[in-house]
Amino acid sequence: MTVGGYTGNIAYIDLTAGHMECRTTSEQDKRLWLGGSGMGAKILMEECKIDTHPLSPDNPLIFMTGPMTGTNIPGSGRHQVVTKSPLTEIYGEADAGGKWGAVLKRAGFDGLVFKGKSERPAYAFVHEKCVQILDANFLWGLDNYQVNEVLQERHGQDIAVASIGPAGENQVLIATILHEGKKGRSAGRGGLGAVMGSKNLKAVVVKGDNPIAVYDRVALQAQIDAVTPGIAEKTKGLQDYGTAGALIGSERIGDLPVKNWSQGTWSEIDKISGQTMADSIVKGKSKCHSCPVSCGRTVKSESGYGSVDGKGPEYETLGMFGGACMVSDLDAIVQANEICNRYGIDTISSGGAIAFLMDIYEQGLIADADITDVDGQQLKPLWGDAKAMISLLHSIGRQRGIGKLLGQGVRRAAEAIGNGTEDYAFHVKGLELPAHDPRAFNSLALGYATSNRGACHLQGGSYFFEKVAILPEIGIMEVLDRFRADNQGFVQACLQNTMSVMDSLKLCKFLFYGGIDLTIITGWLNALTGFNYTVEEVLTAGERIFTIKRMFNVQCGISSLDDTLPRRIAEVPRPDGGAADNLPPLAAMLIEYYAARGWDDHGRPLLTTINRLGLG
Amino acid sequence: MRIYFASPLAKMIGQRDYDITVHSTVTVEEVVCLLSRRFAQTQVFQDDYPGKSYVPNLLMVLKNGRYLLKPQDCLENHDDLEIIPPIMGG
Repeated sequence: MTVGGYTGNIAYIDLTAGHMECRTTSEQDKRLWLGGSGMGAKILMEECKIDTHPLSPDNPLIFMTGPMTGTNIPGSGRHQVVTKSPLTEIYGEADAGGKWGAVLKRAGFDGLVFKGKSERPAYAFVHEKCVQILDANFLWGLDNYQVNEVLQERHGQDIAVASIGPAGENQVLIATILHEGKKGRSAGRGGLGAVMGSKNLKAVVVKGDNPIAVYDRVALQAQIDAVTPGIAEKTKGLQDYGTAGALIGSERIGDLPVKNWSQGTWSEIDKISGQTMADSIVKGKSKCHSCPVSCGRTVKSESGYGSVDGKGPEYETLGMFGGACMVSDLDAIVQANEICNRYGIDTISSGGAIAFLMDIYEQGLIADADITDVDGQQLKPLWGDAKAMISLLHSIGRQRGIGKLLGQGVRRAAEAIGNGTEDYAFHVKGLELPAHDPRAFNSLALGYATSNRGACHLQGGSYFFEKVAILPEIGIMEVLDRFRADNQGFVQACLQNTMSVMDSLKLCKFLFYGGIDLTIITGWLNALTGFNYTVEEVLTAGERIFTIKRMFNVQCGISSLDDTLPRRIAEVPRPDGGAADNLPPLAAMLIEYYAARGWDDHGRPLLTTINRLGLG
Repeated sequence: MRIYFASPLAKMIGQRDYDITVHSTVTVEEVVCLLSRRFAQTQVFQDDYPGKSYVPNLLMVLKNGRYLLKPQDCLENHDDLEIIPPIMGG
């Protein structure tokens, strides 16, 4: 049987030797690991020795599509990047939307695995089931937008480019891999751009238009047609205002990080909301491959901070630069987003790092003389100071002044500064918290504590189901109470398994807002591949995928002691707002969670669990 | 019962809040139905799929600044509500 959705080919590229080997994926591996995050995790476990330093040549950098990537299934314009994270030194992954993954598959590969280190700056050109390693001296030093333009001039407009900017070249630990230049599709979290920089790999260019095999095209199309109108209808808010449209509701319910997580409300939120964006700077919408939603925004902004004509900021960017740093100048945040895209810097981690600096500066925990910009001039990073924020982003990207420290993430920055600053560094396992406050959703607290890549709202996505969405296949028949304490462990485990499936098939999680459930997704998967999955088997694959990542982390030294929250999140309630006074009961939730997972009290998967999932 | 409309609902409706009086316990669904009859603009947020609740499950209703409600949750006249449109992200 030809399994639809896959090319069956994964390229292993040794950058040291300049050699490429194409390996065929077995039918069993497709069935067990799905693709994307699952296949990436399996390959990382196989290829990365446990003592491998994340920035050493031996650390594999894995780009993986899922079986749905590039098909006409709604929300399938995504791919995954997997590696050992230099920021957290544990399992690392990030995903990106757009069309890069779709083009990679049409170039003949399900995935690319880069190992080794090129002697000189290089880029990969992937076309017609072939990977060429080409000289990139002429690209080194260029920002992400420039790289995209230069490579499009060289290889044509129909390519798609994944690249690093100066931050990745400088191996900044919060560096991203940006896709498609000005379209700003970022694999943002965990410092994956630094891994690419450590390999002297400036860009990965993909080009291809081969068709993707589909097992039963008629059945698949009928299933898609049946639900696509409903997705569009239910996500009207996202279509109209983008992800930034969620800011006001987030602030109202106490979800927004305000003043480095110390306040529950922020009266300035209207100034940077998606609604304000729509009324002022938005000039169009953008979308990923095969998306009926179009949640992206293009903007045009002219201000004293500079001009921007391109990708607008998303919810997370506005939440961190806006709420966490209290910058209410929309033009400044648009510019900050542009700077991050050009350098290749994670807006969540950099926003968290700047909020951390503003906080410890106000508390008098850092010497004024230690806070310098790119030119060595002293800065005074006051709350809401947009100019200081932008200056700090340049210093992070260029690794000068205080940016050398902030670019290492808040955990390392606090360790270096000392003086009690650890209490103001908001991270889990070294990854900065995204712009959702776990005191607003108890489940999010458990999700942050147990996510395999550190603080992440998307590995469980549980807050979707405490705001607006349902998922009948795992028993979520109505929207859940966000402050409940019972049954959190089981539900969190089920949702993490579900999201592992989405990350592996490579489907957008916003589909859950559009009323898509696991029965529909399993139907798509069977029509696409020709397999005969049940929903239960798909969820077991999700459990297997989540568990192997945990096993990788356990080998890296992670235990229950690391499944925690920043002290000020766990112990200090906020004085006001829609989640005032609430503190998540993390310890009790963790006990239930480990039991639901089949892990021991130290957070290690039990042998029976490992064997049940075929991971022995 | 005072009902606040979060942006952009307030902009669509043309007012930020609205008062109603109820003489007994009512459900969220009943209040939203009442609002949708009073303000035709809110109908763009309704989910009228057959067999589904009249109140869209993508609409957030916040009671007294804290509690996110479900369609069948009960309300009293002294409660404050905030209607947050179905806009999600991040």
